[in-house]
Amino acid sequence: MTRISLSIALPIFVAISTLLVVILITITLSIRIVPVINASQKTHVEVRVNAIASDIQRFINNHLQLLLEHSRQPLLVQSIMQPDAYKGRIKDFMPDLTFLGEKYSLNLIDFQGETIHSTQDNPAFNYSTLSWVRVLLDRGKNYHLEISYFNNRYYLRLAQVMIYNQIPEGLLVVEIPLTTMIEQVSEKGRLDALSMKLLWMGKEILHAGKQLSGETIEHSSRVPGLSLNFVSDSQQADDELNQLILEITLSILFLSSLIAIVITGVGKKWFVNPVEQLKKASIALADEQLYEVDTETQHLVELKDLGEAFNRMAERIYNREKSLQKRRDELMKLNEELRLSQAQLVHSEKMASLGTLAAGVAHEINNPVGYIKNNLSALQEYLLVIIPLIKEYYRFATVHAEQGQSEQLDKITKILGGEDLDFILQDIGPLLTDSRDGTERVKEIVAGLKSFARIDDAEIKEFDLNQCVKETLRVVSNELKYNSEVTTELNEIPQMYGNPGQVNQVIMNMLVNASHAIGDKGEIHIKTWREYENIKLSIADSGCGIEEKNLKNLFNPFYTTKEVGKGTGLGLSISHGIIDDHNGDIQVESELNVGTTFTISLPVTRPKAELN
Amino acid sequence: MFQQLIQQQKYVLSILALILLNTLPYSKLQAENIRLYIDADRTGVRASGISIEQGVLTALSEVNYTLGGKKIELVIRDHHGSSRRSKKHLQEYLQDKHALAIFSGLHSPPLLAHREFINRNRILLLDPWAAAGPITRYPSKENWIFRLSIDDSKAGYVITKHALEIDGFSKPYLLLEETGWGKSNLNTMTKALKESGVKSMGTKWFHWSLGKNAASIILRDIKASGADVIFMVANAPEGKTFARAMASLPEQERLPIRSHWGITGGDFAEVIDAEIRANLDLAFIQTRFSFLQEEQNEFSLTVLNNAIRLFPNKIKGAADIKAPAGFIHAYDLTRLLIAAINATELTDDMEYNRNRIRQSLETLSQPIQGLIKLYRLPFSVYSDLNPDAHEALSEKDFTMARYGKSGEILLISN
Repeated sequence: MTRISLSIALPIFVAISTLLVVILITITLSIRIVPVINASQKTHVEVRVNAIASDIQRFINNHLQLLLEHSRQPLLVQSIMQPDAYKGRIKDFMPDLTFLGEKYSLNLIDFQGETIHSTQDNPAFNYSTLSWVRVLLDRGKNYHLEISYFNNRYYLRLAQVMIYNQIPEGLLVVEIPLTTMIEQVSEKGRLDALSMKLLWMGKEILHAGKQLSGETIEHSSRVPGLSLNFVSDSQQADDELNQLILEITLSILFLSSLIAIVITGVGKKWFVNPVEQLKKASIALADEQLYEVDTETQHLVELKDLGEAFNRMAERIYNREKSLQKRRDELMKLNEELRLSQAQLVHSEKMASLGTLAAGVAHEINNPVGYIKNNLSALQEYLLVIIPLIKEYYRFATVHAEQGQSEQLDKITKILGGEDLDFILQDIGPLLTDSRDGTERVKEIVAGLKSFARIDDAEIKEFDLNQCVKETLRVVSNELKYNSEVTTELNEIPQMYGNPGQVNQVIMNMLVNASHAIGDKGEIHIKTWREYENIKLSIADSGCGIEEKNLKNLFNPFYTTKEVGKGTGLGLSISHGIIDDHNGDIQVESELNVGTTFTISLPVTRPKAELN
Repeated sequence: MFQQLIQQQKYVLSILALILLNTLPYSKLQAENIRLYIDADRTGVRASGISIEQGVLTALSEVNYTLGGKKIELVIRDHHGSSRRSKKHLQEYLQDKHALAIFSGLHSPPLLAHREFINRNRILLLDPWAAAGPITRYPSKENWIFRLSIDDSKAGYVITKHALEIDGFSKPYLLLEETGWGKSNLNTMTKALKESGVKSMGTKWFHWSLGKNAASIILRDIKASGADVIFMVANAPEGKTFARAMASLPEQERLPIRSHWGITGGDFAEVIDAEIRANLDLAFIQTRFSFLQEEQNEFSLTVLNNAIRLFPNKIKGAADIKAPAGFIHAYDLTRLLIAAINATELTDDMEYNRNRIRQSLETLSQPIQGLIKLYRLPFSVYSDLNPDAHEALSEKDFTMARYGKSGEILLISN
């Protein structure tokens, strides 16, 4: 299962929520709002189109109204009635007649449709031929609107009947270029995204705005045959709408991201940091350290309470742990002591049994060895008689043989079986001496064994350390003689108090260890001396040495570097315990492949056990 | 109004047709008819046109609509005051082989505009009203326009003298329509004032169909100039506008108006009724005859009775003759025409006839009784030395007049 950090999960949660909101808004915009906007867009286009169409209508109406007002100008009326008399004045007057500031081609037409005056140099029309002129002059209508094409342009022609005394007396006709009309209604970007076509009799005569294709709205106009076609650019509207939706979406996305960042920041501060602190505190607690969660900076009440509760719990657990550890240490120490005592007990017991056995064996051996020695002494004395006797017998036989009596000698020679009788007789004496020395030695060994075991000798007494060294050397010399050359430097030292048996055990242990360290061939140097109130004993070997890392464990029980079966790991531990009991200590100096020196220091004074 | 006009025309023609059908076979009707045209304004100053027609018909009725053995047919045309329309009618006259003479209407501008055309084309034109001085003064021996009406070259004098000498005004202001008629009056009035040693306070021109507000502004300007009287040359439509404008000004800003007679040509007295007129000091020039004068002779009564008989629906008494100047002048002028025709013989060549009648008019040796006066040699051959040769009336035939309570014209006797 993949797990993620709260500090990552929180922003992801916020980001996903934001994304969902954005998607929801975008969908809402697309499904609900876009149709509304489209509808309103359509309405807007219609309003604009209507506005333009009504502006065109207004333009026509205004110009028609202005034409009517101009047609009432007394000077124009008078000119209609007396054109010849007014020729000059009308020529000056008419060009100044404006329509909302614009000047157009103006024509003054008489009651027969003939042009009285035109502001154009060459009037384009003979109005008398037009049917509508007749209709107007015959009071059929007051005005006329039409589209006219001349001089390569389309014009809006407005004609107003001129009345004098309620009778149509002529017409005032204005010709307005359609382009002017379109320019006036389409200024100020009113045709943005719109296309306007002027159709006359179904034929396109003018176009304004961009060339677009889209929905067409048709408007009729006041001018017969003239209609307006509007095309709205739905594409641009759609593009703008899409752009708008995109902008809204991006804005929300941006804002949401901002909010996400803020929430992430706040979340990190409010949620993640407290949890991290709790985590840190838990790890510290597991590592048996006390790390206090900072509850003062917590923003959330629950997390503050949790932090405080955790702190309380951590403190208690820590304290409990500490006391447990203390107890465990005590128990372990007790246990260790127990094991050591047990081992010592076992060892002591073993040694005691061995001592008793050795004492028993020594006692049993002592008697035969005693009479063997005595018998040998008697045998030596006997031989002092027998050997000269035999010699004499042999000389006698020989003499007899020489004398011809060889029978004796032959018998003797036969008994001898070729052995050299002189050598045998000569060798018997030393053989007996050696045997007597041997028994003597057996006697010494047994005495040493008895003394070493000291079964009955467990209490503290005065002893001589040099004597201990000698005794021990006697016991282990067999062990040492194959690979070690032992030298001693036993200086004069005072008698001291203690358990010489235990001290012997220590010295023997040291010597055995030294022998093991030496391997094939080496030296062991034993030295005793007095140094102030302490007696010192050093045993130096030229063995393999001890690695430094092993030095600190040297005196731990059961610690051994020897092969399985060769050592118990208890020797030095017990030695340390014995020396400790004697208020002394053991120092070790060792150099790898050079040798090791154990130095035992024991006080001259009586040990405290004795003092008690 | 338009329909009324058509009905009127139909009415007159049906009378004539009835008469002609009763006297002549149809085939001869076309060949021997004489057509007299009346080309007047029967729209803007409708009353003038109608009264002219009534005057002509009343005079013709006295000869049973027959002259020189030929039936007289009246052709009524309405030029609305438009020179163009008038020109069209003149051309129609020229195309008509039966057309003998044409009566003009109240407006001077058409005649001024076409004076050259009329004389060049030998159109026999009889002017019972239009008053502009140059109309009859075509610089040629062969002058085709005869007038029996007020002549502006004299009207200006009459108006000026009356205002200065009788009314006692001293600071006149000229208010003139901007037409040839207005300009001809500027000349005579300026001259008349100069002769009286008075200088006008100024001159204002106006166009036809001006509005009441424009008229008010003009009147205020005139008042501001310090003038004490306005000499106005206007026809009924603009005359009404100025009268209304004047009446609606505060009393202290109003000025007396001495007008040319153009205002009497239409429905002035009906629109500017007695109530409005009470706020105005308005007098205008007229010829020295009125059916409403107390002294009526037998001749004038006969004419009035004839008229009442001829137009029973329209004329029931003297006051019913609207724009009486038109009636009186047209009647007298028709009497002169009849005399001229009777003094010669008509041929089938109407162009020839026209010239003969023109010459006959210039040489009417017999005195002819008219409403205004007994005419003795009313016309003569025109020359620079004889500028009034084609004027039947003279200064002494003119006087000033006012409207009575019911809109009748009352001459001011002096």
